[in-house]
Amino acid sequence: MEIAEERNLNRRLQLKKLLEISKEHAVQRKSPFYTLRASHKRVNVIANFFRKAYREDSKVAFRSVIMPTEIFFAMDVVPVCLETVSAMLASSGLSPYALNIAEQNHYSKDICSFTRCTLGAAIDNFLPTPDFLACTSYYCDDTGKLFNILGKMYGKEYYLLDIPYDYKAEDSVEYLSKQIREMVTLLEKSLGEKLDPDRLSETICLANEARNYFMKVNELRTNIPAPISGGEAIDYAALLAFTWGSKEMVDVCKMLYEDVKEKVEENKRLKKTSTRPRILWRHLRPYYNDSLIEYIEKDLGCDIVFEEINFIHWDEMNPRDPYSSIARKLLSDPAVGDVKHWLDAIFPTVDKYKIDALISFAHWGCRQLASTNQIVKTALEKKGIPLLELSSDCIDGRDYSFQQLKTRLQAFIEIVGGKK
Amino acid sequence: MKTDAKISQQNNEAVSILKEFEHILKDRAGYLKKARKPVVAWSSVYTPEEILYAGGLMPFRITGEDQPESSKSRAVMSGGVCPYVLSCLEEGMEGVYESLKGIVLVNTCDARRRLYDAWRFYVKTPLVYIIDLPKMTTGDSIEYFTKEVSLFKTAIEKHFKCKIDKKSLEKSITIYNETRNMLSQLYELRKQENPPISGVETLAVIKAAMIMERNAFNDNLHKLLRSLKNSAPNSAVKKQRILITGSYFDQSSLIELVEKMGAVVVCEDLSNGIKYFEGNVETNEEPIRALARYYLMKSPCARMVDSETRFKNILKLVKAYKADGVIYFSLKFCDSNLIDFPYQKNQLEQNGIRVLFLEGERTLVNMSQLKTRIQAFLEMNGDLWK
Repeated sequence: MEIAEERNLNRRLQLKKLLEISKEHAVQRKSPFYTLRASHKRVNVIANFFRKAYREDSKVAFRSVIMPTEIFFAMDVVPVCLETVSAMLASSGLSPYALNIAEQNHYSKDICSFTRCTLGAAIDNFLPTPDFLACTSYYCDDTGKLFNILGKMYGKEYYLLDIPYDYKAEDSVEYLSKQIREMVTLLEKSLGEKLDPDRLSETICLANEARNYFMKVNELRTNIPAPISGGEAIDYAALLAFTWGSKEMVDVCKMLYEDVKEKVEENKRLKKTSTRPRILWRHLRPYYNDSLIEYIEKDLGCDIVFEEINFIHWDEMNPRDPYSSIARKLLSDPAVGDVKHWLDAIFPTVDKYKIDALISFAHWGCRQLASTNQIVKTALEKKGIPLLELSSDCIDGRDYSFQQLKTRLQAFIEIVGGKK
Repeated sequence: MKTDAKISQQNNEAVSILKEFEHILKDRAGYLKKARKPVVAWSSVYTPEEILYAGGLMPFRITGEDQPESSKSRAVMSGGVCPYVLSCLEEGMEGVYESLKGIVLVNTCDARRRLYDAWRFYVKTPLVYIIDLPKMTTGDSIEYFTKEVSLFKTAIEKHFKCKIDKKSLEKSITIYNETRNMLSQLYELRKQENPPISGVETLAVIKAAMIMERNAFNDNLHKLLRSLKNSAPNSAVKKQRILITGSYFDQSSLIELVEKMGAVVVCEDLSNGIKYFEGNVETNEEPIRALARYYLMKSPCARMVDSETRFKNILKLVKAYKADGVIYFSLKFCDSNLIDFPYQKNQLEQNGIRVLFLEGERTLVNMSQLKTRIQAFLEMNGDLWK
């Protein structure tokens, strides 16, 4: 049998398996937060990309969260963000199934559940066989190891973009640009076709266009009252899950801008005001259960007005200098380097959005973030901003205890409310 | 059951040297207090110690042994972080090393990257420096790491107002290569059917290498080697041979347990083992580049991304030391080792090598449980080399 045919046969069987597992284990859930047209469109775009990844004729790349996607779209490759897949599995009630498989195969429960869920799905063979795998060394240690293991599992080329620690040095841009070029060469070899530089310029322009719309949305979100709920906005996770460089994402961002602008205008027309506590959210949320965010925004009467993961930290990219631009984009991520990089991003955000408090969702296994919470807390206290760390899990809901989180939240919001 | 693989009590010189090492290790802070040079801590074996030595400094490896409970550091970092890192930070916060003038960290993993942040925030050490370390070994990453090592040298010169020239670096490399060569010879002795030195004793030697003044250590090691080479061979009682690999590990209690049960630990594929000293820094290359190449190209631990290269190295060691089994030790929350374990286990077992996985905190508890597991493991192992 031809290799391509074997791969295609694999994808048919893999999709069949996913559907069988879903039939047996999935739960139907509808987000209580999605009020905007753009949010529904975004979900459809991601679902379509995921469905496309199972097609026989698709070129597929597994990617990690901040791996740039402009290059993939320039070569008509469907990028599958593995962390997004874990979130989708959790949202559908399928993550316990995948997590159990990982644990049966000696992957410790102390490993981040995003990683374990992906591993379980890959071992059980219901992810679409990729043609290529690409990841970055940030955000965490897990990523490189995961992609290396998956590369061996699928027998495919994989590439790690090793992001330098010194995010300010010009040498770092050069070093990273070189790696991006090398990655492209390997991708070309894997696919048996060349990247058209004009196509890459196009996708860079599309990424810029989407970025500009999203930045406008972020500006609109400084308005009081908050024009979009945090529960709705968190799922955009622009830093992590966006398919930058696709026409579809431009459409989503444009629609989002229109939706949010309309909301702001409506609030102004109705002369709406708000004295609700304004929360800045750090990291992600439980994807298997909406009660936490609902409780904060409905029961406790707070507004999650902005999320770190929607912070656009990079300048517009230069379509005539794509590799350096992509390198600069990666280096400008506040997670790169020391914690000061993060603090430099948080402080202006706190002022801009008139934040009253920060809630840090400490996902189990996300050590690189959790271990900075006290430093961030101490730094924010100097500005009179309290921080609450909520320890839980984004993907593994088997030990989820809403009551424990509720108690801590109640006490915290009382303090925040009292300060206003 | 007593092990015969240890320094014979008749070998007075060797026994005396080992006692001296153990005495120093019992009071690390006290030993460093008497140092006549500025004391600088390092954490990772990817640290180019030669630069610190050439700068007239006294480098030593911070181990966290004095503060295993880590209550303060847990409160400021997170309970779900590597216990080795927490205990090191605890030592800093408790001021265990009063005379500490600097600490050098390497970006080997998330925990150590955040240790750098936490140390700068919570401990008042005059110099806190981090060296970035690539996750791969390519031509470009060697160039990158060479620049990192050069920047490190400049930072040390600036902070300590010293000059580290080519000559002083070359001299430093020579002295450290001497240590490496002698430790390699020590490990060669452990390839014997009945090694003249036990795993517990070897761990003490390696740890002494990481704290003692370099020339003093080299002198002692030279004498120890001479005594061991000249000593009569141990009685011919065959023992099961075990190799340990995994995370940061300095648990002599675990090695002692294995050896009291009749086996012998013949090699440690660990930073407190062979990874500290294998190979040599090239002396006919520009020193900074030579150091960068040596440290980056070390045989990989789990933090380097490629699992296959790591496996090939472990297999090579298993064959060289005729190990009958492998203990894979992971500190809790050591992601690199936890994620790599299933791959390494599968590969080793496909090559007929049994693997025992142990996971632990900074100090091992539940010794009786460990004893049962190790006993079962040793009983199930065959003698592959009969």
